[in-house]
Amino acid sequence: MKASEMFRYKLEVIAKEIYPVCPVYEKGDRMTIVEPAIIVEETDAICLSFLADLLPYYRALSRGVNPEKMGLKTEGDKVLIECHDPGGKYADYPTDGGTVVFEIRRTPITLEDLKKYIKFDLENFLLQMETVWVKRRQMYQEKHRKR
Amino acid sequence: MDKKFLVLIEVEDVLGPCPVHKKGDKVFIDEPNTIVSKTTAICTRAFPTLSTFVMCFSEGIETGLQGVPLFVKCPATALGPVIFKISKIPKEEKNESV
Repeated sequence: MKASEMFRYKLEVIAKEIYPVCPVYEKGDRMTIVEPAIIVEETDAICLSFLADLLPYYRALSRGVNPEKMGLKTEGDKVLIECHDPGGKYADYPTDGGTVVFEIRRTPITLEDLKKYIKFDLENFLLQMETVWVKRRQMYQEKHRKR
Repeated sequence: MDKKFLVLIEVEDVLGPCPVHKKGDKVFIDEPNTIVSKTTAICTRAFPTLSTFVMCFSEGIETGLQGVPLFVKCPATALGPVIFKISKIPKEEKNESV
């Protein structure tokens, strides 16, 4: 695989530990992300509250930013992140819920892999979009040249 | 936009190293406006989570365990975590509390 082809990572977010209960996830449940989509066919459950926790990180993780630079612990090539509810793991701060610790597995994906997750003709789409992007770029540059 | 409550997010505790927050930091929100002059720090990694509670609290709807303040933590695992407490302040008390 050429480096230029590896432009994203697939993220598998797996419920690793649950303290003590969670209304959404069971241990081992998985959510799969191929930025910017959640791959429903490869997802057991989605917690909207946890999505908000994940949002600042998912794009950077998908694009290969070092997780430790984002304050996330790693175990080998896995990244650990916790949900926002302290109730189960941090007993001094009781809530009505529990804490879930997730591990994120990152798999490099190629354009070829990406085709599996996209419902339309990716190559044709990219070809069409390139024309659109050229026009948009020209419009922007012309507008700003006039100023 | 006439909300009944201000929303106060306070840093209740910092359980490990954090480059942004210290205990006692405050974020004041007059939804949807963050009152910058009364706010000591905002972490971009924690704020998306915290913001999901703001509209409810600004309308007086508290979420969480009854009889206990709402505690929320940041999702970091190598830093902190930082424990936040979210509460509402009736606007008529604004001048005394803020």
